[in-house]
Amino acid sequence: MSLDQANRTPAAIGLAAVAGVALGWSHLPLAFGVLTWAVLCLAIAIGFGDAVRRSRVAFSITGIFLLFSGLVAAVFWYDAPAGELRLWLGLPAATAILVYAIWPLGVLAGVLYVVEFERSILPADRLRRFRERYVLDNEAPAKDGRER
Amino acid sequence: MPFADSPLILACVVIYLGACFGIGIWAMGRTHTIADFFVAGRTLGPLVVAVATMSSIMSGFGFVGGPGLVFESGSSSLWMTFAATIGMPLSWILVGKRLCLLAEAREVLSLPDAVALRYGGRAPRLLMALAILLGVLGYLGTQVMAIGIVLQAVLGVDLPLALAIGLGVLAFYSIAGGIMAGVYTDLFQGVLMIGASVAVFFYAVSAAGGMTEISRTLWQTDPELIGPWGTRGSMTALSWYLLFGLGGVGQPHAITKFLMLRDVRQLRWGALAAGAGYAVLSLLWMSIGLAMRTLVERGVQPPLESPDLAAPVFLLAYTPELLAGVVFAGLLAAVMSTADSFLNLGAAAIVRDIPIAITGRPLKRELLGSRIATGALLLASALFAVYMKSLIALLGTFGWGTFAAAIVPSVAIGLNWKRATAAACTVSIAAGLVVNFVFELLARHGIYALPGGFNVGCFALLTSLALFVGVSLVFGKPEGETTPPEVTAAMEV
Repeated sequence: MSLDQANRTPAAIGLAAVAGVALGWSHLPLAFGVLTWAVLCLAIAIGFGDAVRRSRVAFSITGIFLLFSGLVAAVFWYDAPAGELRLWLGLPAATAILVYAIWPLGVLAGVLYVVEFERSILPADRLRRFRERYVLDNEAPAKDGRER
Repeated sequence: MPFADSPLILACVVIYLGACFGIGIWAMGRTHTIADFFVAGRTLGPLVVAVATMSSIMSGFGFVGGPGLVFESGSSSLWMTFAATIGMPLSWILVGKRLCLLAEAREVLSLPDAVALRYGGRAPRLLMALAILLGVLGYLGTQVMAIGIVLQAVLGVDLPLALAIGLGVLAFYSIAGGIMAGVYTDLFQGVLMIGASVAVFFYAVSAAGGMTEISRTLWQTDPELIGPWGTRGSMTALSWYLLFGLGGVGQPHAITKFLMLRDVRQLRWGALAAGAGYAVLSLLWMSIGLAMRTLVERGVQPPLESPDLAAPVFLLAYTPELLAGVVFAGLLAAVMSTADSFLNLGAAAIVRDIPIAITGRPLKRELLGSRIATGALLLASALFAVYMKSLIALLGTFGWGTFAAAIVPSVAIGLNWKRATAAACTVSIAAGLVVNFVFELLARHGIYALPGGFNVGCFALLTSLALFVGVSLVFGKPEGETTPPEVTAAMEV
């Protein structure tokens, strides 16, 4: 079994899934929370394919992971149901982190997709090569209007 | 559900039902081939795909069950709805481009088509079609009941008559217009509800005296209600986040929309638009539940018979009639458009995917067969919903997790990883189905529940993901298992 570059990220997501089952079963929520973001960021990395080797993409995905791991840790840190009620913008501190940070910042993955679309997601030259080779032949029968 | 007894609300719903008829007639004129029926002839633009993807995830559960969950257990279910903010972009990142390119190169009309193309052989297609059909039956039953209940509340008629009216309209436009009618109803619902969610949020916060008052009241009642995890605890909340974030990529009624996009280059803004749009829809989910619980705890509002009444009671008692009417119409649109998507998926499984897996070819006269299958599925789900409520409740509960466990590894990972194998696909789909079904049954009958609030669907997703990667890595591709060159090329773009 070889673990070359192309197999490392899927292997990591497989290992993370095993760890997730173990952490969930053992009831270790903080570790599970960090692992949740590891799984999500590994999935983003798989979707970006070999573009993930570009430093800008790699740093962005790592940054998203570190940001959200930190936010989840902060939720645990500020969560004090038995303590004094401290409100941030009308919500208890830990809930405020969830509502004002974790919720909206989820769109960062969408922002990364938009920013990297032409360079990493759908480079024009790769699409052109694909279409020249595989798409033109298929278009003709699709336009005949008959039931297929 | 309370009776609305309002001409304005009734007018909004009647106008909506009329619009459905109109969309059905318009879509019927544009549905001539089986590709039109299942993938709208690959003619949709980026805005329609983005809004329809977002709307199909926000079904009736989002507008009724979501606020009900917040009312009952505080912040716990916010992790469920907030996950979509990243789950939507993930769908674009993992499967958007791949499915679009496959549909450009070959005739791909359904996810089982894509799976068969990717892995070859009959087992992956058959298992994927069965998983989809099983999930569809459960989801459809709950959507059918929701249509009946909403119309019962608005029209003030008995459930059978309400069901007959709602399903009559749904049958007309889903049989006549196929998925084309569904996506344009999704578009209508999405645009309507984004505006309505913002308005409802302000009415809800204002009715309860502002966020500070909501927090103080709920803190005094039970600090966990307004704490970050709600009363269900951190493990449930976090496993919901993972299940609804990553699992969103495995919802067939959402990701088959990528097969309908006119041009892969139009994908760019959809990820951000759908993620941000869903975030706005979550305002309604969050605010109604928190506000209603606050009003009940303060004694302003009498206790509710059921948490699921939080949204309808709030809309009728605390918002202007026009806004309530718009939201009720949007709610009905959400339920009906989701039901239409499921009918379409189920019809594809019956007429195309399962026959191809067994006999090597689809049923003859596919378009006619699809229309008949759509009608039969609707009738069967109505009968199930009325006479087999416990089965429907079970299937509905494990629907999301089933789709996630069956589809995320084989489609979302498999379309991005060349080493993934047909055996891994088969094993992961089967494991996802079995784990979900067995553990849901055990928990439902009080025999065994996963420890510490760990969610069954999340457990099944992680298990099938681990198996998929493990089987692919350990066993590799057997001799003779090849990937078609256009699939390999689509994976390299």
